[in-house]
Amino acid sequence: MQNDRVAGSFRDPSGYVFWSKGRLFRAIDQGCLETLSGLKQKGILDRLIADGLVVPSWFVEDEGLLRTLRAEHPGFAAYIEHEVIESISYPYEWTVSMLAHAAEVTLDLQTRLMKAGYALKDATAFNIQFSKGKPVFIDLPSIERPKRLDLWYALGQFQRMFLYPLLLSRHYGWDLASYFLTRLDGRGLQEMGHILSPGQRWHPRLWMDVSLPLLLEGKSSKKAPTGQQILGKSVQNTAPQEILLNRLRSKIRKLAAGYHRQGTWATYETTCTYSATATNTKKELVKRYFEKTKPRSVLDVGCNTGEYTFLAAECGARVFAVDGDHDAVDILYRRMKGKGLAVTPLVVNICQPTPAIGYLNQERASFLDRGRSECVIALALLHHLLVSGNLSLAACRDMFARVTTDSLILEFVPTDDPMFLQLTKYRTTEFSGVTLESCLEVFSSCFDVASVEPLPDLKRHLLFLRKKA
Amino acid sequence: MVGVGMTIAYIDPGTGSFLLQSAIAGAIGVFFYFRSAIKRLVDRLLGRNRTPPSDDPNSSNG
Repeated sequence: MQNDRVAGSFRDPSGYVFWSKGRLFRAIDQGCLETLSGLKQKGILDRLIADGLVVPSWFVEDEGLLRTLRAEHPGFAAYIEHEVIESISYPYEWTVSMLAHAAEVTLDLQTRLMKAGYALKDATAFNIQFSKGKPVFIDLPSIERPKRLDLWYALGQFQRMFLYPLLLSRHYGWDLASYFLTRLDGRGLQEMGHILSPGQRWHPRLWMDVSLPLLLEGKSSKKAPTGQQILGKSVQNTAPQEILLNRLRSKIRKLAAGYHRQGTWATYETTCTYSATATNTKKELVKRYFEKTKPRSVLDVGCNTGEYTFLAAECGARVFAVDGDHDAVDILYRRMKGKGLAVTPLVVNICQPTPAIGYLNQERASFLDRGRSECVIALALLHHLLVSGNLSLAACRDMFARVTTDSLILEFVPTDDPMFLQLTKYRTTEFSGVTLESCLEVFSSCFDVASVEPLPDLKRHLLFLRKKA
Repeated sequence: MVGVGMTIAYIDPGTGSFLLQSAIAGAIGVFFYFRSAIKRLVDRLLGRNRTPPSDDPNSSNG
């Protein structure tokens, strides 16, 4: 039974998120209650939820439950229950399209709030989660009632968390993990100045978001009004902020649309060595297994553009689909559009999964702690783990045993397979010990072998394994 | 060099963007102010009545 505070929820003094008996609640103080109940009474909160911008949330009104929550977490004005999002992910695991969509949701929400006289005081990408392939905002206490409606206080944070990483990945070859993993709050203006050469810094596309702000920051004098002085004035004209939000929206869209894909695996499905018979047999075997065992959660490791991810999701599982190749995952994400499937595609190299990070190394959980699933599928992956990942069969076994709670579908790729040979073309390492028999023997210490099915036209086999209790 | 580093360390990372945004918002605000002032002046010179307050509750600022 959990009565715990969520580790990442501690910065905002107005409350925090906690688990109670498998349900997710948020304790809020009087100020936050006034803001949110105002939004609720005007019907705005419910419309934002209905339009999919905000995670479904409701005030706890049941007296019995309220008594329990007050006893567990005393001293708060009210409690909100949130719908649970099962697959938690972070911006350093997202693709460019995912970050751009998260940015658009943030801007859409801010626009709607601004028109009603409210605003987001934070614009961090960590306030967005993906639910059924769509970004939703999760941090209700970030909503406030500002005095000025012509300015957006969170602009700087929006630039650091969304605009700069998209700019750097579109034009300067950065990847999002490099951008975020050593700077969870994104990279500031001064750092952007250091990253870009003087020539790059004055490119017209950077004028509004980097060059001019940098110039002003350098020139800001002691006589300049403070943020508090500027924000203390009451201004009701929303036109300047509307212009700003529209500019940001069109810039984000342009950056995402202009991104050039360069991944090796994005075209894999059209270049791989499978015959139609082998593909169909493989799909049929995996599908039959899903229908028989009905796993509630699936982790597709080395998902590529998601053939088997969609198979698992269509059988009713919530799926984590991970691959080390950004562009393949980005294609998968875009293929999900409109399908409403419970799939979370992420850029994760399973040989070096995302670490736990942040305050006390607990603020954001490691991928292995979030990604554990009833069934793990690893198709056409083993040779990459053995050759590119330099893992032994035993190391592969231990890793899969760590991430599955029940079963594993593993495609065995023999050393004389054309793809295996291609990978080892310039390797001197000896892989002759890797045989179907040795693989089954190594895995048998942690798994029971349910069945071994040969794939036609290939020497590959599908192994259906169940984790030992 | 230490002085420069110190100065940067004490600048809130959003300062530059915030100042630029305030300056632009100020300019747009001035534009809106003059636009409505000129409109009022023209209306008065032409002897037009100002639009009476609307009865539509949606148009109020609440």
